Amino acid sequence: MHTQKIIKTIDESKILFIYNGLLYQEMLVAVASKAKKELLLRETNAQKVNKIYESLIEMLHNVISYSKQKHEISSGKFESKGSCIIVKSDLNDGYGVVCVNTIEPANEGEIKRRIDTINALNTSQRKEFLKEQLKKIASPDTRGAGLGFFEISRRSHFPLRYDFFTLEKERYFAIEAII
Amino acid sequence: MKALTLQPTEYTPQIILDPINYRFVFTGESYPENTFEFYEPILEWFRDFLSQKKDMILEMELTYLNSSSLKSFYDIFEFLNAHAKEFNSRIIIQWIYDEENDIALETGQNMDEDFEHLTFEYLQKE
Repeated sequence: MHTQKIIKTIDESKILFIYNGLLYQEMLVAVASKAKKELLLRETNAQKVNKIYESLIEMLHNVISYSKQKHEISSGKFESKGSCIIVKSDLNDGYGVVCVNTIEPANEGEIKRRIDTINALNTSQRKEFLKEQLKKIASPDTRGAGLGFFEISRRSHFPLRYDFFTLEKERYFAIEAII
Repeated sequence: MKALTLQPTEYTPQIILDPINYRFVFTGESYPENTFEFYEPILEWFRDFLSQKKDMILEMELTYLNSSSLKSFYDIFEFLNAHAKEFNSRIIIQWIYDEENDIALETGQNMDEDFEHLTFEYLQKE
């Protein structure tokens, strides 16, 4: 039995919430709602809880839309595999919100470029960036507005953190916001 | 012109676009899976309704807009702004926000800056 080891790891890592499995719209709603309920039991700052909840939704939509392991379950509806973790962070007495999914290795450079661009913006540049993105005409075949990382970073106290790693020949992408 | 009303779901807002009672309301959270598909009929409704000069008050009480919903509302406001400019219509956006939701307030203020022919009124919830 690995139970003891798993529980010890969860405690030592200060994990408050974890989900690993299939993600689709209804599951996203269930996971985000459950995470919010758990957080409200521990955290009195409702604004912080809302920012975690909203960042988590944005991240989970990214998993559904962009994971390498996604497949269409019905017209325009997708299902993917992914993980999300909420940990207590020592930074700013906050929480780390993390999502992980597989990616096509060819997309790694673009993901990195997008996050680095957002992380490098100062306050006035952020406003301009948002306006520029909103003014762009959405392509009919796109599911997002190109603003997912930006909206997560709006709610994060620090620049977004990310990592790419290989596990059993699959390339993974992990993103973290500290809220 | 028929009313367009949609009941809220866990991830889409309640929508009331009622030309008879002259009430136009969006309330709730918005993070559908196919956002552009969801909001296209809403934009179409406004295009039909505002084919001639009309003044209106839009009540917006949206507690959360995900990134693609933000884009969809930007497109709707862009149309309303163009209508207000062309017909000299008075279109008021009542932006209703919670004191503890600074992101929602900031979202309204960002829109406000971009659409000079719309009048934004900020109402803090009791």
